[in-house]
Amino acid sequence: MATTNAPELLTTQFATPEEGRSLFDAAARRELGMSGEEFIRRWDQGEFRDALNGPEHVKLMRLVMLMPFGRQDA
Amino acid sequence: LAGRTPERAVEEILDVFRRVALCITDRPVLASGYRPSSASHSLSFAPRGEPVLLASDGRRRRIGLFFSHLFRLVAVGPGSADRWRVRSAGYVFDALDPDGREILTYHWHPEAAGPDYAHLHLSGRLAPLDAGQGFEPVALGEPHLPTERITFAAIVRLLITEFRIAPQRSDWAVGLDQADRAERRIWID
Repeated sequence: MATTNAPELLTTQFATPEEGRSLFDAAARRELGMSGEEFIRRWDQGEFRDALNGPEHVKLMRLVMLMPFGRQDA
Repeated sequence: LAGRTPERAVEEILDVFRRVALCITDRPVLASGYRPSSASHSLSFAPRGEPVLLASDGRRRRIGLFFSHLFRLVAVGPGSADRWRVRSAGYVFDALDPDGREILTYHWHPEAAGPDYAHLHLSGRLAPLDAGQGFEPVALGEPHLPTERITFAAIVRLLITEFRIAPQRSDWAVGLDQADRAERRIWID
């Protein structure tokens, strides 16, 4: 087993608003084939509530968890 | 975990999650922010929140790991030198095959729809179990199977010990035990 105990990359990393929106946009396109902006708009309109109990549940939950990245203000 | 400033409090939990991640990957962990708010912040893998693909020794098995952890910042009473604490608000841990299909999914999302308790989803690709002649088969991929709240450290330990994912550090077991205890300190209600 090739293991090491160094180096440790523990520099602080907070996403800037642009980085956060880019992260969430990439996730929304990866999971559901739509932009992050479109997902947040449709989520806020309650469009995905029923889908949370369906086969897309796991993908939707990944996006729900990442949504704070996409909601960062400029 | 606590800090004199909101930023420092989040750095504390980021440090714990990074130490866990470093047991299996070089991928950094990113936070969506540290400003106190009624809305949650999120942690996930940089740069795009995508799963990290992990390999076993000899690369005979590959497992994708997605994680995201929601948290809030909570002001502590004036008597404390550390004025801000991080409070856990939910998580998703997914073990995936190399094509991104779910193997195991650990959920706790008390503020979203569905059950508010921590639970496990088995892969929806598991064939329904025969439950006896004349009775409906049991689809194991459908139920929300209740669990205790689970830590990122426990998930990484599971991947190393049960899925035989190759650790990147020789002291991973000690590191994960320490991180497990640290993570549980943000489970304040």
